[in-house]
Amino acid sequence: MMVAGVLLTVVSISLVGVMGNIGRQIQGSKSLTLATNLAQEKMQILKQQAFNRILVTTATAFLTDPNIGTVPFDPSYYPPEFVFEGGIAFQRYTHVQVVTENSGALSYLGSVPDTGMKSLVVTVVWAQGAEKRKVQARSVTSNIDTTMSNAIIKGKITVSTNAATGIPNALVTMAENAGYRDSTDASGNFSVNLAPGSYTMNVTAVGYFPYYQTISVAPNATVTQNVGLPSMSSGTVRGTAWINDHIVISQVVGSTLNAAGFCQEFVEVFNPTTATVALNGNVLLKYQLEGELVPTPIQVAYTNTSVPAGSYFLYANTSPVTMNGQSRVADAIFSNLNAGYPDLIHVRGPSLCAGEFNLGKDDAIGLSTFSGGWIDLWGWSSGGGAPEIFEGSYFFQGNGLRDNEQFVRRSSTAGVTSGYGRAYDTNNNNVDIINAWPIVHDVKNSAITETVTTGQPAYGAYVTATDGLSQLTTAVQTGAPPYAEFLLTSVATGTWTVYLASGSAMAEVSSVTVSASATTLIPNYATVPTWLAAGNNAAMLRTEAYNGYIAGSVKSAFGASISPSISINANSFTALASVTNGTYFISAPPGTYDVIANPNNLNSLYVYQTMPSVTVTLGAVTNNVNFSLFQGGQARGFCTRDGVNALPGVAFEAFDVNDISRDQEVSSTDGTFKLVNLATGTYYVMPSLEAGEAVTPSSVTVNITAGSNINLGTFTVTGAYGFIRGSVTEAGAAIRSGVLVICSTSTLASGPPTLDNAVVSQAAYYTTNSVEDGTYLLEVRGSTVPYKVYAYYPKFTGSNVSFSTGSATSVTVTAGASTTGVNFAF
Amino acid sequence: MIVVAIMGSLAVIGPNLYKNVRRFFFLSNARLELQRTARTTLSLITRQLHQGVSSSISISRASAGQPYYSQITYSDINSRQIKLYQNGKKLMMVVNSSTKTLTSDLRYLAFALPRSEDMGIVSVSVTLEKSTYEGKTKALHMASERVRVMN
Repeated sequence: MMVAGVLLTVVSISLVGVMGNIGRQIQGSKSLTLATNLAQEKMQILKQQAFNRILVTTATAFLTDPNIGTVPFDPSYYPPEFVFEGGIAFQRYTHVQVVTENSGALSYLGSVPDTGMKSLVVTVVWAQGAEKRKVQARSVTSNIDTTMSNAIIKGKITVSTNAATGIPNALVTMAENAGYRDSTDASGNFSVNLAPGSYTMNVTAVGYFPYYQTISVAPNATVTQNVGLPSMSSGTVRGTAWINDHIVISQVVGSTLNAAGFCQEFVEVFNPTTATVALNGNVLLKYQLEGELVPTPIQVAYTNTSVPAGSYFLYANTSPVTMNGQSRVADAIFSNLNAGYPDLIHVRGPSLCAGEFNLGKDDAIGLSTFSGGWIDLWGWSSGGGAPEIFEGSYFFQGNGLRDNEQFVRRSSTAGVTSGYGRAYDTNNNNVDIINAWPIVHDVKNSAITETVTTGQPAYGAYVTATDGLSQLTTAVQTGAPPYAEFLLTSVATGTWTVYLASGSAMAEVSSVTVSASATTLIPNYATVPTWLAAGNNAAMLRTEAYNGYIAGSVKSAFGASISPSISINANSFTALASVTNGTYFISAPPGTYDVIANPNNLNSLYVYQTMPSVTVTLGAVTNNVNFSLFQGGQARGFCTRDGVNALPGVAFEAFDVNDISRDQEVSSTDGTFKLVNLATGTYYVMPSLEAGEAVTPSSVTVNITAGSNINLGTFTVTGAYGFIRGSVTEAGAAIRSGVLVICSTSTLASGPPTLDNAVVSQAAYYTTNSVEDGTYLLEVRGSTVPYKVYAYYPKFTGSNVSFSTGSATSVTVTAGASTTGVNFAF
Repeated sequence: MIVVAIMGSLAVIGPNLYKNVRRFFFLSNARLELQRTARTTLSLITRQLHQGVSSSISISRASAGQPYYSQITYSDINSRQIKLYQNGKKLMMVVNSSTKTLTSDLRYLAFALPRSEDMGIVSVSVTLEKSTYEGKTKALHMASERVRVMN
């Protein structure tokens, strides 16, 4: 019976598994097909609209998932749609960007003035088991009415000293519209097709100084503008990189007599970080003899409970500790409850201290957290054996710790230097520690602060500069004792900011001046921050949150820094650009960001600009995210359905004198709209209307000056659409097979009429079908005359069709609003 | 004794197990077939509609016994007369005088004009339904799409 049970269980489990796998295979194939169709359908819906009604995403949001990566989408104009089809719940995301063609490839520009081309990306996401899946459809739509291509600016970018030498890959951009751009070919030639007008031509090339020129082009004209770029000279930036993120043991003495003949012993700790570290209740001092299985905590009585930044902390078996002609008050004293007190740290060989002889050989001392993790650890050996615990290699000078001997942590690779914190830490005891026998170095306590010039070498730290010429480099191990040195070569002459980043730590050194063919050691006396000690070119990386970094500059269209300073946002992470050189630096968690310069036109004299999809990697600097802003102003207005009540959702556009759309905004729920990204000049503003809609006034002309905020007045749009929403149910359950819903101001006593050109030209009939979740959405014009809504639900009896009919009368619809709850129960 | 016990257990449980397995496979296959048919059908309809002339569109029904708006007639850019309509559980397509059945599993078909003043956009909704093993379960698949009539 038992065997039978086992057999049946095995068979059942196998069957369930097989059926589950088959089900998943079928479901996977089905989901993919449906998702592809949903993506294509949305793409078609978007492309059915007039070009100007396809709204460009102004504030991109990102859906991030380990299985589908990062999906950008528009949370405002095209919020995520939830579609239930084939029994599967899909989410559909839409993202629209302005694009331009640059030397045969598409450049994605985010939200900038119109270029006549927009990129459409529709992503459909669904869950398959515990994992997410996605399908993405991409397309580009162009404005058939655009007049952008009837003017040309072309020319050749050459080296200033030789007009025959073209510069390839130079970027030529019109600052007023980042979409008007081209990269030079192998001979340095460029050609930008653009709308007629006046522009600030901006030419940049790696290794050359940028060039700015105001240039005008008339309709159907071609302007040739050759430019000679002066080449940049370059130099080298060099220095060392260090990280200090924890306290360290800086000295151990096992036995030294004071004047009273007491056998003193102590452990000195140094805090190289920039914050006070609490010891009492957080840190344990532990000692472990050779052969002991576990270290023994040393019980202490605290006089001071913390160690200030850059200071020492003295654990001792007496206070004060008198040594080397100095007397230091202990910050914590060994308790007499410790076994063997007052002799806790043993020495090897003969000793003036009673009972010490030859006890200490291969021992270790350490600092740990209360949970047991080591903060710092020292182990030493006499050569006869090895300590139980240590970092890297134990300290070995062949004698163990002797009477009147001190083990001291180096201040730097040069050794122990008075005045500099004992902070050198390669995590290798035999490198970091030196000994002195007899004692020559001072003992220090929390009253003493010293300059930190080293720490843990930041091997592999990323190093980059804002010069735009040099390439990212890393700090590498060099020397003996070793340190982390960086050598940033080919740095353009000028004054720049250098960034260093390693994991969760970073440093910024600005005002770094580089001269031609010279090496600049940083930090130095002229940098910010200055060097920590004269002649000491050590950059200290401070611990931050677990972030990566975005660096770049914000300058005017003419390449000048901007004052008041421009704010830069990457979601909620912000920075201010330097008013001196325009550089900025943002610390943000790893991810993808739309970086915005001058958000909400905080500096009202300038427009804002977006750099889409900037990737931030943990511990690395994403550099050269640069902005070139032009001066501009704002215009605002109010959109109504009747001169009084707000009409949301209407797209307004500002066209320049050449009929180019320069900004586009949608009226909000209170009917207001604000065009914020307008360069100085004259525009006419008008809404982009659907068929059947009318507006008064048809347009408003406005002259924008730097910092202006002009009220355009009230626009009244008539004939705008609203919505009717509801559900269709049968016996309380949603009808999944489909119900025809028709809306009209007419009474459909004998069923709906045949719809053809003649009928629909007489009266409007709005029709839709319910969807799989039993809901429907009708789009109808707002009207003061109530609508009648009819629902027809066909059912089969065998092959014969019968109908159930529902109706609702006096359904009022307000333009721009939804009328909900028009439900039909059959 | 053990063999008898095994045989006995299998005899009791086996038929039900077999029936459920069969039902599972029938249902899975039916759903897959419906989904394929629905998408193939809708793809064919939308492809045809794209080529239509919007001013020639007429939405009605094939006869009084059929659902409202379950028929669309129009001419395409090549002057072919196209008619798509529901006839009971069949979805029929007529191109000029040539008629063919697109599916015999039709549960719902409706052509809608989301905005009747713009006959260039037609919304198509198709639901297919199929009975499965022992008639106890029905597989259902709905597909809908808004189509731009290009001419």
